[in-house]
Amino acid sequence: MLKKVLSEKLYGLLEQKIGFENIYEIRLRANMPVSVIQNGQAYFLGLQGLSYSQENALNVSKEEIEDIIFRASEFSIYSIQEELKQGFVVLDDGVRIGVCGNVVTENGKIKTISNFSSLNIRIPHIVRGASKKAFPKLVKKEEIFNTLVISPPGQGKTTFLRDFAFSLSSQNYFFNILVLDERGEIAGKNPLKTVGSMCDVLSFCTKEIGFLQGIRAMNPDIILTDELGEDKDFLAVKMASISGVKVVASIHAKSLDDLKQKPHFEIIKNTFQRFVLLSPFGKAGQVVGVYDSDFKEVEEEVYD
Amino acid sequence: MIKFIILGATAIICGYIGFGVSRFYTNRSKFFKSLELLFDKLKSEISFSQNKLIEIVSSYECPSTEAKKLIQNFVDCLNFDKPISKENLFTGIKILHEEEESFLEIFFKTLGKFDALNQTSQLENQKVELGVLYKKADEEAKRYAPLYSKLGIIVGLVIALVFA
Repeated sequence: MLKKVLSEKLYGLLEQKIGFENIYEIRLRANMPVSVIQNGQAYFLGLQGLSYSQENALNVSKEEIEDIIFRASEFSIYSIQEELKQGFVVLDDGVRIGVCGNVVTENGKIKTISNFSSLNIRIPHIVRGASKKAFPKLVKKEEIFNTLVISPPGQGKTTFLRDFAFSLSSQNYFFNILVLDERGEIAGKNPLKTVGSMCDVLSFCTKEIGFLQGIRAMNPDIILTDELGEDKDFLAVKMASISGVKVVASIHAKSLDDLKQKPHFEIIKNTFQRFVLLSPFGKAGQVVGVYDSDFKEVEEEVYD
Repeated sequence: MIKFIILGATAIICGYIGFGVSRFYTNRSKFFKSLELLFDKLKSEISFSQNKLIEIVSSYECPSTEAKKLIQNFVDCLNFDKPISKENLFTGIKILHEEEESFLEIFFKTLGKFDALNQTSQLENQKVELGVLYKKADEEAKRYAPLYSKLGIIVGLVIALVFA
């Protein structure tokens, strides 16, 4: 899908000089150098490939940025208004394009974004086995712990969640999993391939509505979702937990100490029994450790 | 004998030329009427179902051959990443004047580039201009199409009679 969206020159450079399997994020700013995040490290993109120097970096024009959004909308900007209001567009293969520009408001509500000036293109990766190391510490034979995955942005939380859902689906645990995919990033448009056959996907829905709707409609054993942030998200998690539904979620935090500073730490502490800390450096999705509710590292456990 | 065959052929050719010129005018009228209907379809589908642009224009059963060709050229520009220019849009279409091509080039260049509200109001404004073009083309068709087809036949018959 990115091939249809990016200009031939940019796509060719990224494909030939780097390879999309290594790219996690592409940042395009009008009349500024293109930057690329590869394995947690930011570089500039030049005609010769990646570099730390801005000097020979490739610049993109405002017209190119607008053209990318036009193509991402399948030549129909009017059809992506709801997505633009939220600040991003999701392509068929789960690639998310975050958009910056002029925010047009009406009666205090965002009406649309126009005059696009910056794009943040996030490329999802299916990394089979990303959750393998943590998996035995999170799943008992017939039960799963409420789990929170922790890392800074772009370090593989979604990759971990996607693989975890797929592993649960493929290992015949028979858990009914509701993937609450607020930004369409976890499951994309091909859930069988991304999260597996035991998952029901509720896309582009807020956690507040999704948790309630999902529990009511699908009676899930597990709700798996990305990026808890707002007050309402934590209340939804608490509500699900009280209802007996297990929750696997992620949150932005650099470390366990950083997590402890979060405003909703009390809810987090009382709800989640396992904390998976991902490395803030190096390759995305690397598990540093799995911790229990007392923040003690969980040793290798073998469940009968 | 050969003389009569040549005169007969001349009469037929004159009639055919007259018919051709007449068809030029009727095709122009049909072309603009087809585009008016396309504008209505675009306006309605962009406002309500918000279907994708290519889906909307491709599902339009266009009564005019030239308008159908224009729509196909537009879809090709989008699909094959060709610039939306007069050269690419009007390939194989020879019934339009320069200013009409300019208007349609702007129309196709702006199609799909706005939110639903702005896109539909843009369509409404452009439809007014298109309406003027259609009215003019239709008046010309009503005035000149029968005239030229009759003229072709008459000229053919006069040539045949004079030289017979």
